[in-house]
Amino acid sequence: MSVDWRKKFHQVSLFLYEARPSDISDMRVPAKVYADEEIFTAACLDQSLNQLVNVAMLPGIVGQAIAMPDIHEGYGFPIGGVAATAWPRGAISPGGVGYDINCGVRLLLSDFHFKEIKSKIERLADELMRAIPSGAGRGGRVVLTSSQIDEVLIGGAEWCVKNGLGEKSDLENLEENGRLDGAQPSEVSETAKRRGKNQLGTLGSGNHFLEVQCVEEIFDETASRAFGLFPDQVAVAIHCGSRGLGHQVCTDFVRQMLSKQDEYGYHLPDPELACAPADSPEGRSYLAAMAAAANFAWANRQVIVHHVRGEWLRLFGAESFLGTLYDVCHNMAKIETHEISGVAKRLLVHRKGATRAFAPGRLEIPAIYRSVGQPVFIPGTMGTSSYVLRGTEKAMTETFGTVCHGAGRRLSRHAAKRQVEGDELRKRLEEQGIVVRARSSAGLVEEAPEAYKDVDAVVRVVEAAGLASRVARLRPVAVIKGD
Amino acid sequence: MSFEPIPHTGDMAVVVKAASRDELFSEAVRAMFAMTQPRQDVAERSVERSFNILSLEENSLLVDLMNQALAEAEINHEAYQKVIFDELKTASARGRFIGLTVAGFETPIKAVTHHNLIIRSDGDQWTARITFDV
Repeated sequence: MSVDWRKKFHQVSLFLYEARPSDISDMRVPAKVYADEEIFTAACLDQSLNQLVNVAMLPGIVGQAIAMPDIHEGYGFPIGGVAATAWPRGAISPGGVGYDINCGVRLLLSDFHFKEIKSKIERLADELMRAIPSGAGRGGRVVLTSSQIDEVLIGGAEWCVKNGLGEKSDLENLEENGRLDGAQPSEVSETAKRRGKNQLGTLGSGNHFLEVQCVEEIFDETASRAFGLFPDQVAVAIHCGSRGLGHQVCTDFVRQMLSKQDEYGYHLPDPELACAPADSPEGRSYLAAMAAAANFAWANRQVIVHHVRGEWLRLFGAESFLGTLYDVCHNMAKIETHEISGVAKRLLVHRKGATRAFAPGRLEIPAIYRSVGQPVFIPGTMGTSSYVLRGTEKAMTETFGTVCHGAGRRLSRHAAKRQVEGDELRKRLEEQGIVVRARSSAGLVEEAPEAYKDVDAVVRVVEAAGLASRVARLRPVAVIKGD
Repeated sequence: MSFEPIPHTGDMAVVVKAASRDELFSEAVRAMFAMTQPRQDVAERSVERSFNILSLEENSLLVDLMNQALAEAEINHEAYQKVIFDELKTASARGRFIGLTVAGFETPIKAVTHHNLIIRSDGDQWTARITFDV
């Protein structure tokens, strides 16, 4: 039975819509969507608002269930979904993190202006395509032994640096310094480890990518100086996650928690919301496994950075620089302190296709950025802009310090394949000056810009709602999907 | 064709039809691997992988069976075209996945989900609707 969501959600301000517990039974807290009229209208057409309302029913949920303007239908949570539960007794839901645990984005900055290396971009793209496997065919260049995989699950990006696959300065500028405490390899199944052991340093497929970008416009001079950004600067963005290891952890724990719903007296409307109290044996096991998978994802991105640097040095010489601006996660659950009605509370914040965006002054932010706020990356799609933003105090108040993670899909892969032709898309991108390296045109077509919402509009909503502030816009100059 | 892809904004979904429950479960696995678009292995050979699964109930059994097939396929670089059941009950199954080695997948699937999952029978025909995280 379809629901007219316009009758359930009230527009409370220009970019905020809200459904209240008084309007929909079983909701424990309000459900809020940050969206403009067009985005909200699109959200009414799939199950994303229904999913957001279901999230508002989670045991122990605090404040509100939130969706960002890149909202679309997911599993359990909508993509762009955020929910905080009371720590330690509120629910932890693997569906509120997602199958790709710690999918995220690393942004590297060079000291080049684009015009200095423009003539070498095609060669750079060729070398990166060769050097960075997608993992869909051949595995990664680093194959882990059984003991090494456990070390990676505990050590994350730190393991990479200790093993010559990164620089110490990288760790200072990663969310959580690239390693979440509490990881327990024993809580990760053998199947998950077997899936992950030859996937370290692989991009994955679908909307994962490696992109060479160029800073096109600076909006915030102070923040851009703090972040090390300058006009026409060449940057490299890496978007990937925990690969098969993380996918299996989520699969394993959704299965396990489904078997426990009756025991905990949970009656949730969607099996993908299966959860357990965070301090229950299942909750603790999941958090330990999730941390391990998150560490694998940070290590994955770090190994890719190492390979990218290898090609960079080979092409541009030993004096060239490629440093880490920051690394953000957008599928994660974290224990954080937030103010609820003026009282500091420990909460378990689920972000599913949503990015942490902490305000200036927060101690979790690296010291060099703390005065301006946490760097946030919103990647576009092929051929469209990406953005660097910074977190704000308003986000801390309204969204547990969270913003969107990307543009958000609007077309199914099937519809994208019907509407877009692979060779035409490749030609269109090349005419825009974007070098494209992808094994298959089918994969490109599924990720065509037409398949996504307008990233400029999504970022406009986030900024207009006061949740983050634009620092710079970057344009793609090369898109690499991995061999 | 016993299966048909259906639209899903973020990922992939399929409707599978078959004449019996055994066949439905086997066809669901076949459909899933067809949608991953396996790349042919130059040294292609036939493979069998056994499974023994205990689930909560029928819907979960289909998800668990397909996720096990996915995991085996990713670990061993294989794709399965058929499932042979030695035993198939409401919430448990034992048997073998039958397939071929592959060089990789054009569209790898992360997991089979419970999202919008329907299994129904109207006497003559069994139907399942399944959503994959891609």
